[in-house]
Amino acid sequence: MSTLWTRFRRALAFLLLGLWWASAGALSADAQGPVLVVSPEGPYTSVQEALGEASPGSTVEVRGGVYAGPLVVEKPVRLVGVGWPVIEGNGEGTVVKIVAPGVYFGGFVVRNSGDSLDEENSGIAVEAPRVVVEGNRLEETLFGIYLREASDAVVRGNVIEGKALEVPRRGDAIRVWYSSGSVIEGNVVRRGRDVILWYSERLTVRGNVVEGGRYGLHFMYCDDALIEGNQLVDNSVGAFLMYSRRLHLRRNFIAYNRGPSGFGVGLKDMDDALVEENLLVDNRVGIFADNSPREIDSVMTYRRNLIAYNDVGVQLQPSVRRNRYEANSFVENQEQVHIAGGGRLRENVWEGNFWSDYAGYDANGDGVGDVSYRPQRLFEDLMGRYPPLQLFRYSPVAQALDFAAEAVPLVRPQPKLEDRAPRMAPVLPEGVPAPESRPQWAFGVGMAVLAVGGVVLMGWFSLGWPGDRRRGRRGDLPRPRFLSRQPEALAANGEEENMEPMVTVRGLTKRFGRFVAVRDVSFDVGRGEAVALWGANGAGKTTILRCLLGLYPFEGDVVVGGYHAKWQGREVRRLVGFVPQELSFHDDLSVEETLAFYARLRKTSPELSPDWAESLGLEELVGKAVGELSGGMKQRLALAVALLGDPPLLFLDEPTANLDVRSRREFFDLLCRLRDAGKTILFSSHRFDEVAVLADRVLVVEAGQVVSAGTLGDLAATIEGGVVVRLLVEPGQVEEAVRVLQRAGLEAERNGTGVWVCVPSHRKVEPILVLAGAGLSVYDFVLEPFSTVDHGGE
Amino acid sequence: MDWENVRAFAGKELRDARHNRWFWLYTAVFASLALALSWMGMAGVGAYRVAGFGRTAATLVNLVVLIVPLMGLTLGAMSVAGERDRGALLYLLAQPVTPLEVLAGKFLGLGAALAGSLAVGFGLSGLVVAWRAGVVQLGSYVALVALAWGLAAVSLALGLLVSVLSRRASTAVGVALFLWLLLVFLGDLGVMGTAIVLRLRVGHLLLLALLNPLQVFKVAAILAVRGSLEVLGPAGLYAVRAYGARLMPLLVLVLAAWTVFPLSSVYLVVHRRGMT
Amino acid sequence: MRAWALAALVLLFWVAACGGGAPADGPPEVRYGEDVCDECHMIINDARFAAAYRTVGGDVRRFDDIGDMVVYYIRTGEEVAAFWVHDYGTKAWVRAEEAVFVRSPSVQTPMGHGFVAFAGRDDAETFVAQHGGEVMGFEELLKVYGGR
Repeated sequence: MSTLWTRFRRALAFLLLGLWWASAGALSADAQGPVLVVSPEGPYTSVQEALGEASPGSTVEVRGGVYAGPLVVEKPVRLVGVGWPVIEGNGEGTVVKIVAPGVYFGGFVVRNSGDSLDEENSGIAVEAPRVVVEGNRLEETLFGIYLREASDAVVRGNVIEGKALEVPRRGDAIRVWYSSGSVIEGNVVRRGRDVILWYSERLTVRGNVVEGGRYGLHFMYCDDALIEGNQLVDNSVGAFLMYSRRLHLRRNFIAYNRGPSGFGVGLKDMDDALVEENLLVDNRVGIFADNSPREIDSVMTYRRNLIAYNDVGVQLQPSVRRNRYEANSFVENQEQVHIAGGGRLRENVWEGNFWSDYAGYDANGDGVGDVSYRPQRLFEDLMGRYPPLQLFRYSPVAQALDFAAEAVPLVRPQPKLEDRAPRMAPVLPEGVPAPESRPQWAFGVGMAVLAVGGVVLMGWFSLGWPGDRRRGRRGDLPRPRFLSRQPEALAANGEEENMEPMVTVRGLTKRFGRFVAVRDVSFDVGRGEAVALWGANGAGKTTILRCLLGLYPFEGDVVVGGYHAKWQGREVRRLVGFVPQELSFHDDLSVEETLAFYARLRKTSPELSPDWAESLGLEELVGKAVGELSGGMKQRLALAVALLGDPPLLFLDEPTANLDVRSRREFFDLLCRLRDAGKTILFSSHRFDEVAVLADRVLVVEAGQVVSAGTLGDLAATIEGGVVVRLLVEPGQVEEAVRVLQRAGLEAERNGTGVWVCVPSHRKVEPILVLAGAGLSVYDFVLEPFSTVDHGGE
Repeated sequence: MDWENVRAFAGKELRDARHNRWFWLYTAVFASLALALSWMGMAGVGAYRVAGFGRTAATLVNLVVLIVPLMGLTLGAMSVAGERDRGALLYLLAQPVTPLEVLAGKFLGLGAALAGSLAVGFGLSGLVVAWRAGVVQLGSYVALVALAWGLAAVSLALGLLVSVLSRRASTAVGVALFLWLLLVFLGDLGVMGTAIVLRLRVGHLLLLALLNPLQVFKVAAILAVRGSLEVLGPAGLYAVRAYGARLMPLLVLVLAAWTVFPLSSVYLVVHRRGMT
Repeated sequence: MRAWALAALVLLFWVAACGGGAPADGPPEVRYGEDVCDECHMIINDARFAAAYRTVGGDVRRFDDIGDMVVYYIRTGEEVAAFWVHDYGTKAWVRAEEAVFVRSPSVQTPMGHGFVAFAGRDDAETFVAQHGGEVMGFEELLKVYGGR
């Protein structure tokens, strides 16, 4: 609850109390007999002493001060407190006990009773008829005001705040016991257990506020009571009404009662009750009825109540019949009506209620729907039959079931009730003392922070990556470890001080399921060497490179720069700059952002040495988004990323697959310069021309195996059967090129937009020369081993 | 595990989320539904502005159970499989990082994105509540948000598991959608059917239902918002009776287990097969 | 992986089977201030008056007043394995068949039925000597409400 609101209400209550007190005081001054004044300065200093002197009908006026309890009033006098005199109970017994009839007791602070539940220690105990207890403040009392066989009493405008005990150890704030004809009016009760009214007829309970207790009101055996205009809020149960006849409950505000039981109004064994124009809001169960009415000739009437936002609007136990529900408004209760045990509703009457889930229409405009309201919710029906299924409340499956029942008549349950004249608009009760709700600014600010937090959270992180703000910090990173080790372990510039190979592969086998992609491959790559993996697509080149990078689990041993790829993948990858076959950059990032991100992963600066930056033409790329780059530019960017941190090794997987002739030549020029600068390079290609330009040694890969290895010269000699030369010519000249080549005695055929020529390997330049001689221009050419076949599954 | 790398990947993931139109669609749907539910819950009747936060929270629970798993599962499922399809994953893994860092970054980044997305929805609905209503429990609101984040983590972990197990992004999303259907509808429907046919005792029904992390979230959220499980009938009462004050920690623990178990499975799968 | 899942499922069902089974004997548990009386739906607050029974099927019914237990039992006609009440003095559980009951106009029980129970006849008679009332056994108590 809002402390602000509580404070406001408390202030209001005190104000009202003051008014009551003032009017009571005014009455007492002229209407009554002799006045005995008690104050710390005299004439009387003890209330009990003054009472001893007082004659029946006289007034004892007690001025502000603290007076020791217990106080026993045995004469029919008027006790009037002026300036909030305190009767202090010192934590023992009952503080004020009134045993004479017709006593008026008002304007006091009664505090600190004993805490024995068995002895029923109270603030004010009344045991005589026609007593008025008015405008007092009770603080720290176990029971508050206890009417014990005190008929026709008036308890009005008191504020009762109990001891701060847990609920079961508290006493009742107000207890009315065999006290017929009493009026309980305008009291404010907080931190009590219950307000209990038992065995008393013709009670009036009006305009009280009861909050934070167990039972806001608990009636037992109280016939002909009027309960009107009360606010019963935040209790376990708002009003529990039992074993009473002709009880009239009207215009009460009953909300947020959700403790154990959790009923707004509970009715058990009641007869002829009239429940009307109440607000029943956000309780667990708005109205709970059990075994009511008891008598065969009695009915229960509920009309013009607003029953809204409860988990269950109305719950009827199996024995309930002869209940009439008229002109109530059922608004958005999670379950409007719950029938425990399923059916038996024919004997109850539902007429002219408003149902917020009514789906009918009103064609004639008389405010009453033209078709009956017949709730047929499958899930609710199941819950009624098998209560444990309530576990699935608030689950989408519940709605799904209801929806299914609506769509499929076969599974539609019997309607649990029928309202033949459902209202189209709610009927709102008037004159109910509902508290004015106020916006909670503190909470609002919290929520605003949460909302802004959400936005900022997403925004900040996304802007923060891999932005320039971070790069500033990154500039002065320590040199990566492998670089500092470089002089002794990895001689980058190819000085032959350490002849150990940079890459050692022994018995590398890689299976994908049953398919063997790489079978027992062994080779070395020496420091500063450029080695090509040459073979057709699908031969296993890519898989070998990925195993070397430690991206796959594999069999065999791979050592790169002294690290085992199997267990030390991260260290291996730190030594290797990798350019993949297919580039996958974020198109919306700028070139700088891309470099910064990968530099961050490589723990290095995003700046390349000026030399390489110039060679790669990075100047030209700066400021562009990656998406705007051409294939060649992207490839240069990929190489730039690979060179971040100046790694001694470069692995390139078909690096020029998507480039045109010119870009490819430039790219390979760059690679040659890198090789000459001492980088160890391992690259895969199916183009013999690339292999020829860059590689010191060639490994021929076929069907997952290295079938031969050696220098370029060795290779040319060992290749049997020759090579396939793929030629790219002007589209319109393909036919002519084939004719020219065939006329020159070469085995040529058309293949799409290109021309394939099979020649012995020592004659591989011949087709180009022939075409050039015929005046046809060759844009591009590729050389492939003749014997290679596609294996797939690379 | 290098947390600097994890942070880099998490940041990248957040950035990707911002460029993912599904993410924005989910955020918009959740925010607008949460807003609409709060508005309706707060609208009151006539002159009586009477609704409290509890009711709105209960409808929000329902919404969260429906939407959050969808968000987590599909976004999780798309993440690894999608990057694998595009070859981006391979390129990332060729850097000096470990798969675990990539996965942790993905989980944390996507988790943060989801948390932010939920925060927007909850924040807006909270604003409406604060503006219109008088009775609010800040504690239960915060608990609800935290539990929703927990559920997002659970579904994200499951989504990632689906993603690493699937060969293609399209398969992954399909499986994720089926899993969502299973968790949201089919599973509960099965439990309900079993309960009715076998007349299960409440204790068994409860345990069976709580195999579903969505139900775990729901029960915990109702408990946080309402302070009791009375609204869930005999099974709810049984839960409180059997576990008492340990119930809430236990439920949170189960949610945590539902996060940790899929994530460790993801790790094992990646460890055994490689990620690419 | 599949074996794991199977093992986990088996384990869960085992846990479920164990967790669901309440002890068949002994007095049932009542959480005062939280449990609700099966008859009147009010919160059970005071052990001195609280009562309970266990059905043959193993279900437990709890009541805030001895009288409510009898009313509920007679109305539903359930088959009961054991009735339990509290000794008014010690608040210890006692089997109703072995308890001695006092109906006294001077005790206020939660639902006003006016019955308290004692483990021994001496205590019951002492109570009657002090507060008045009549002593009876469980069979007689059932008859008060029209039971067998």
